[in-house]
Amino acid sequence: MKLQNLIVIFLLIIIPILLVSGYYISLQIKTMTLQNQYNIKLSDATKEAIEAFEINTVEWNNEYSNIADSKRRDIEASINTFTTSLANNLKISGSRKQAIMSYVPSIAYTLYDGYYIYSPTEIAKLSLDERGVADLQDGKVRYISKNGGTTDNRENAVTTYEHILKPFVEYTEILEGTDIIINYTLDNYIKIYGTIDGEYQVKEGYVTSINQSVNSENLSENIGYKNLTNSPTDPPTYNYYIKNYNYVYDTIGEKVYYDNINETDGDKIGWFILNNQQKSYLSKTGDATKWKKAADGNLQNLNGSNINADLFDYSAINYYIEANNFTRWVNSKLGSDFDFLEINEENNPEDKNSKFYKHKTEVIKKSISEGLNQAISSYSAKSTYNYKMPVLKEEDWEQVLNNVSIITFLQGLPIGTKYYNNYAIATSTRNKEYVNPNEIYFIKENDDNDDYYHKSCNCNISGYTGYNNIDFIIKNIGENYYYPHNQLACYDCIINSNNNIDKIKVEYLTALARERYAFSH
Amino acid sequence: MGETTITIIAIFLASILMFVFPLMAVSNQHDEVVQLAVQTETAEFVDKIATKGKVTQTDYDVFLEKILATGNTYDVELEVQILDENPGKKTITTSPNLIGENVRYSEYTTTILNAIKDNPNKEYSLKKGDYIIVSVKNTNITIAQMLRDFAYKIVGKDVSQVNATYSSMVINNGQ
Repeated sequence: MKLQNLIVIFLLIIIPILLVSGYYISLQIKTMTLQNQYNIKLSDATKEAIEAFEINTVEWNNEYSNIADSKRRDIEASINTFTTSLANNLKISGSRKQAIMSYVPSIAYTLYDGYYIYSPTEIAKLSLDERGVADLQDGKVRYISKNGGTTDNRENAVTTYEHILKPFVEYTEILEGTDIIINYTLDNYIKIYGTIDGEYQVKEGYVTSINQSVNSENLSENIGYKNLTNSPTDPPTYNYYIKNYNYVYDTIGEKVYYDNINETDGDKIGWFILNNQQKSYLSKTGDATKWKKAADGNLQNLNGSNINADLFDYSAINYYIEANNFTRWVNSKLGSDFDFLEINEENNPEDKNSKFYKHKTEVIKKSISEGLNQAISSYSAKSTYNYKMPVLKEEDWEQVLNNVSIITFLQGLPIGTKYYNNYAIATSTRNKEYVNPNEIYFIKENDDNDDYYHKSCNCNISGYTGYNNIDFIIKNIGENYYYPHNQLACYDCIINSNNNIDKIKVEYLTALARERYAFSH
Repeated sequence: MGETTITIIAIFLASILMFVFPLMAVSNQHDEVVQLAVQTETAEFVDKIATKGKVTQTDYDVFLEKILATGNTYDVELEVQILDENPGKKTITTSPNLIGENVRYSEYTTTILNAIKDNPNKEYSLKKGDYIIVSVKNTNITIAQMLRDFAYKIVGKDVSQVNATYSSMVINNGQ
């Protein structure tokens, strides 16, 4: 045959093959692009959920977020933000938002002393009467039966899958061979229950191998408050003020301020607390008195207008006394039987390489993995797509154990040749759940030479006072904004930040001890 | 007879190979680059709004200029979901506002652009917790689309070649 004929026949055969394989490859490329896009959208939505959690608990609702009920509400609001954000990113809006939740097999919130899991659970449909209340017969609820009508046997009831927030689970373990239960937390606080020396005991506290001698401190910050104006109007009008006051922590970890000036209308001299941005002065009698623990362990009454008011805060000293006592007790009762509970220089609970820390991370990882596995597999058993729990990497676990985190999973979305299956983790850096030992900033009060706050760096900061980083967040009062501390960040400290605390050991340990003591009470 | 047929087929194949396929490949590539550029621009615009807390006329104009520079005409849709009342407020002693509990109402492109025009500073302020969603679709027919239509018809609503969406929660109150 002639060459041209052969060429033409060759081309006629090859071109369709090339077209088909080109199409297949472009499909693979589209799958990878879409997967990448979903990864980005999932991680964006997760980050917004944790941002909403931070804004809700730290900036807006300072006073209420430690109440247990409020915490569930904060978590549900944060999960709602995640759903909205994911739906917005995927351009689904309105009532179809809930459709995206069927692709989320579970969301885990790891907090300071335990975790919440939000996942679909089988719920039997209750039969309701005409008022919308559950129909009771002979004192038992009735369910809608699979065969029509109602039944009081839960096995025959019609069930639906709804996402609910499961109850709080703590990071616990039972010590082998005993009935002693230990609850762990993200730092070195533990709670022990069980039969020790023949009687049932419950004890909790910080374990530490550091015995640092610390001093009392003088703390102060700017606060904004409002006073009612004298003219009666409806709605009431206020005058707003921003001033600097000294404070101490009382026995339940609340800041109690001392007013020694009495400058503006409505001010008095004495101790007060901030209640809904208004000053609430403590009186000498009744339950409005508050107490703080002095260095010798005795309780000092903060009341009325002590002219010789003791403005020093002794929380750091109390922390070391109580922590060392508790550690000695743990060592004597349990240290001999369980080597990770024998706390000493080599087994420092705050050191990431110690036996205690490694054991604690194993317990926490196991607890969270089991909870998630159980939630995901029980949902997978009843649905068409086979949901599987992805394996989290080591770096992911380190991030989760660093602070309050949210782990979200997204599975089952069809993308090209396969189904999407991935997870995202976002960690909060500013929240009231946990005192982060890496985020303590040091300032010198009333020093005109240094307007900066420092972390651990090469600046000379001996004699400075350390505060938690959430005390540097902007706050608002009326229509004005203020900062509790007026200092700005020191450039060297942010750029060359290392966690080397050798130069500022005493200041750092004092600040950390005081914040932890106030937090745990 | 046979020879002429083969020659015709050969010329036909040659023309397709030398002109049509490269053109299709290059214009597809161009569309992908344009898609990436528009996606990046949209993300930047939304981030600017989220950190500033307001939609300004200047930002919007700069954004339009940049995406129109790619050579296509676009249809830009803005949506703002504004945080409103909290119907789920449980008691007086607990927190009143929670992002995630308060309901939201949406405002769309025309309303926002009219509000910007009427405002003396030419801006539309948002507050912390609102959502801003921007989506861009192209309205002209690109070369790649024309060539593909010639070969086979795509039926369905996804006839735009370049799509970009981005959304974010506003993190600063606009003054």
